[in-house]
Amino acid sequence: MPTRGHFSEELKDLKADIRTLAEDTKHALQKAITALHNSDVKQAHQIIEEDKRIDKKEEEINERVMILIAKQQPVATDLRRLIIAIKITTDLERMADHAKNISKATIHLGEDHPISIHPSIKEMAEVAFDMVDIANKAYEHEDISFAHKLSEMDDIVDKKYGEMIKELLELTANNPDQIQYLMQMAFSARYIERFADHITNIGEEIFFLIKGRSYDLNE
Amino acid sequence: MDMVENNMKTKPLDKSKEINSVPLLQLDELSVYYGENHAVKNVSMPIEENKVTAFIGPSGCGKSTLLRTINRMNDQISIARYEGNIEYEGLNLLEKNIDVVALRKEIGMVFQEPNPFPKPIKENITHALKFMGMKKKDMEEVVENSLKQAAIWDEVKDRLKSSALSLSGGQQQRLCIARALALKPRVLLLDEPTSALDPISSAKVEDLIIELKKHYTIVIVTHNMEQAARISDNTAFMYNGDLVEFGNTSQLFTNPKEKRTEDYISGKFS
Repeated sequence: MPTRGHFSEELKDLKADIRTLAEDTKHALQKAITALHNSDVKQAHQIIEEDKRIDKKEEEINERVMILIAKQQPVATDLRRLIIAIKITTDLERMADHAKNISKATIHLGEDHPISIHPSIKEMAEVAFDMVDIANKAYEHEDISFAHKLSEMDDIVDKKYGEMIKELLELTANNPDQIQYLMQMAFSARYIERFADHITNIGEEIFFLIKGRSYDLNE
Repeated sequence: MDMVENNMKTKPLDKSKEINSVPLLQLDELSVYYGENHAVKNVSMPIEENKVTAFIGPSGCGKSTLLRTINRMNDQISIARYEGNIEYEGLNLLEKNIDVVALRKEIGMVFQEPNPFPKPIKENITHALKFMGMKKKDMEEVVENSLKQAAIWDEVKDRLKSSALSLSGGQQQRLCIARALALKPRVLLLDEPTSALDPISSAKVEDLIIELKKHYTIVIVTHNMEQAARISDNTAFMYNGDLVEFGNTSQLFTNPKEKRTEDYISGKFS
């Protein structure tokens, strides 16, 4: 058995749990987008309820990391592994909060709102789902080539968001009676855009793990 | 104090010097042999003034040999021989004409096991001073200052005539540091100074080392990675006689350049 085999196993388990949390976060956004499209208020309430489980998972992971730092006194790459575990988990929790926020928008819109959901919402979300998959792979393999891809995909989300907001502003000018609904849609788009930013942060954290220096992929 | 038996003199000691990064000692292509065994291989590194430099590495890597070479403690081993230079104040400390007694006053040493003399506490400090011909009234001041600098004065000031052996292990080690300081060295070599101490005593010695570097240049050998990370400014990682990596301690413990360093400090050395 290699030296510090138990510690290596614990790091492996921790990574597996964080990857599962990333999957849970992606599913939360998927369900939130579906509920938004279907005006499914009941589903939206359920997503908000399920977010508590993700919050709890974040706390559990942070506590585990704290115990590992205290007991194992890691240095160098192992120390960075544990530091980014906390940072990635925080990003994932925030991402799940954005899924929750979209669900709140669904509740505000109600079941009988008069507007159709802008197609860019779905397009942005699709890119964000792919980004989660890529980030998860980058984290699993500790591979910065995947992390680079995240930056490019985030640019696509940002561009779609910018175009959509421009369109929504024009719509509000011509449809002042629909402002409250259009605002909820703009908020939802903003939450997806922020969701993608957090995935890009995860890419930066993987850079930090591998290179030992900070990088900004969000520029 | 003459360190060279000719007429070469070291500069007067300036204990008020501010912290800077000028190397006080420069090891250059230093090799140490014990007979056929090449124990330290072509090591080059600076020892910066008023900084703590830690030597780390697995047992038998040559770190203690390297430390003991700096003040020529290995001279006592008949099969030991050196190559290369240890430059200090324009001298090569490995030259045959170096007065090693004067050298060891300038570059003092504290060992792994506390080794106070089986004498009263005060005499542990004054013993060497008597040989130097210091007057009794001057000794009083040196005793107090040395014990204060070693952060043990408050604990022993009322029992200076008690046997040093009545002190705890941690107190004995601080007394040994005070004994070394009484000779007004510029450099202190510490060979695993806390390995025989409990965590509280070790913490006191560590705090003391951080205080002492304001006035002294310190080189420490330690097996305790966390200790090296906590107290040193620069760290040298040695393996099998080679200097694998030398650099700023913060950098070496967070982002080492060499995989062997990473494996060793992470406890994954096989």
